[in-house]
Amino acid sequence: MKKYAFINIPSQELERPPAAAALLSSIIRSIGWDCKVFDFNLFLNNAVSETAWTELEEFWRCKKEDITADTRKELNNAFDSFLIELKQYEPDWIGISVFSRFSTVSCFEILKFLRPKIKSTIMIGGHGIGAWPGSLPNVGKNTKYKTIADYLREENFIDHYITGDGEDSLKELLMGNKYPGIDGLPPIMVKDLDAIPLPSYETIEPLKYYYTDEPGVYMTMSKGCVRRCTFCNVPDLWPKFAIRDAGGIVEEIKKNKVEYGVNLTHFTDSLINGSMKHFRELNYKLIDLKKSDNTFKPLKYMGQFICRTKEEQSEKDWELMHKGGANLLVTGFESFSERVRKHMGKNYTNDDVAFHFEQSAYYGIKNVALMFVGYPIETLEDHEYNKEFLYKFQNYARSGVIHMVRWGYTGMFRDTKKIEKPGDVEMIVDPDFESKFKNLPQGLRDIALGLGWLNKKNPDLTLRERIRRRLELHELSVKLGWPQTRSKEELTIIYNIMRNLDSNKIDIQDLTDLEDVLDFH
Amino acid sequence: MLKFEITYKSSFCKEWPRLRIQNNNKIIKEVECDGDTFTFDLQPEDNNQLMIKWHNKTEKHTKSTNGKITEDQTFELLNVRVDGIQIENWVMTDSHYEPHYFKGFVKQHQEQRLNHPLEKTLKSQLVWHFPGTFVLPEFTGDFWDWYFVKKQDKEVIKFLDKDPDRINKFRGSLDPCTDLVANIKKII
Repeated sequence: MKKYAFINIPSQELERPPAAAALLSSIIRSIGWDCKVFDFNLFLNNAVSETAWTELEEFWRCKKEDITADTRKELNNAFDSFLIELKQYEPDWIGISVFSRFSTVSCFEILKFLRPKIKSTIMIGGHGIGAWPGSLPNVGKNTKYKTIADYLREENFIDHYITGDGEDSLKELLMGNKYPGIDGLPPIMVKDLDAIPLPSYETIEPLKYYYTDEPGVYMTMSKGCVRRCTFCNVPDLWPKFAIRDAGGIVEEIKKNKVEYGVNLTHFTDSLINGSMKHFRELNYKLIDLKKSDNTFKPLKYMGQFICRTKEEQSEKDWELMHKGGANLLVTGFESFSERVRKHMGKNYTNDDVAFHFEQSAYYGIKNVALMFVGYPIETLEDHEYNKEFLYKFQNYARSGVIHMVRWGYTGMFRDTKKIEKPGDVEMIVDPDFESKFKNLPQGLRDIALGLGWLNKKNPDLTLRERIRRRLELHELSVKLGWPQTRSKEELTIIYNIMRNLDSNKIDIQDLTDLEDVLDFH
Repeated sequence: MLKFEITYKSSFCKEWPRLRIQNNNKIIKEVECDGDTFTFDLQPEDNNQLMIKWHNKTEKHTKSTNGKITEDQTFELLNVRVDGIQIENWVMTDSHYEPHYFKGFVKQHQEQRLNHPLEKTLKSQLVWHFPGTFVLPEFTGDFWDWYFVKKQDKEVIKFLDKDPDRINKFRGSLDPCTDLVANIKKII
């Protein structure tokens, strides 16, 4: 029997078992292979000191270019011990899961270490592998390639890679077939979500993880989205909205409770209420499960959500959610200006937003509100609406109905063409922007690259103005008692980008003044 | 002004339970519990001691046959909302009930020589059989400011040693980031 070692790497939260590992290990076993999951993220956390872990987290998340000698020593020791465990398993294949762009540096580090020491075929997959190679060290060399995956394959750090969904393509790759998504072939969506085996938490039991309040698991109910918001890349990744059978999901939730004692299901979907019919069915089935046995009463779920119009839903839907176990909804309202939202592709009113919060409040369902500062058509009047949002719903923030708000980095667009609409948005990108922050740490460069734009149709919204609005909303949120998530981290990123521009002795006005930018074109 | 909504379950015997809502010993509302919900408005003062007094039950409001209760006036507090917002459970568990035991019951208790005295206060007791007073946690100043602080204190955040940034990420922060904001302002 062939053996596959599935390696999960930093940086990832230690909250719950990695979803990809649980799911793909089951799929690998379904074709008759043996598969063992090695969570190097958890292994490393237990192997190194707190100081080293903190420094490594900053390194993985590209906040610093290199690590101290002491931390390097601890990391190498951890690699040595990990290699012993890995070799004991004698894998034919090794798969490294690169969850996000914050896993690319650790992926590179582990590959540099493993490749010369092990003969197994090595492959990588995950969202992070499509990242800009400039986020890895040696940026000059890496940027010849389109993605990190290309760079690693061409430079012989890996044998194969999979982009996009891995559920079908991984099976095909292991069976020696060519298939979309493998080694640069354009990926396609997973064919049938209901045909996939249930995830397995063997060796990555949920109780082993460092949960904030209680053990939980990630679960995927759907892929894609029913909306086409201008700023969002979900439709690029999953062109169609596909969803699993509600009965199968509830069976999986039941199994996780019975086998692992897990009450909390964290849906990884882009939205859990993409189909209202399906969502109602899910809640009804969860209510039935809870009624069937008190063991299932504490079951609850969280996930991303879309705000819907009052016509699309009723109070009954919220009651069902409450009874079904809805606990936390992460909702991208993005703006409290209806004009801005409409441009984004979100056609609901401020009354609908109010209804969403009223119902959440009534049923004790928490929310994380995701907001957007400096959308290209945003005027000062629109900005005032965002301030009104903070005043209008202040009691919901203080009571915990709005658990947190996130204002983001200020408008960041790498692909400015996507957002253009004749008459409203004509994006001008400073062609020399990259050269203006060459001293910036690599990981921040791709964020910074997204900031070098101006909308010719809304010239007052300069980078300076976008940051001013971001700060104003931060300060007002604090004043009115709105807890913010990751605000310090995001403001630090903005500061580092702006400081770098400053220390390069470039007049900030050059970047923010429309005339100067227009001169480039 | 705060609008309280209380959801309850009650049972009838001769008459329905009657409650008196008081803040700082001042009567806000008298309620006959013949439905499942009642509301009252509270104009907060500097300090607020909210109480719900069940005052009309006597021994006559319990009927029994051969020692078995056949009809009883009872009250169960199910839920509290304030300004349409579901209040978290800790408000109930931090409350207590002060029952006024019937003389006959006290005598019976003494005669049975039970080795535990009758409790004067019952923590987070929501099902009431004896009349008495339900005392909610005292709050000072703005209700929602008080609620926010207490709620934060009650939240369980495990494994902070493993991830010191966990509060910021998963619970949110009111950190004004004063220096950071000042530095960014200087640049822009």
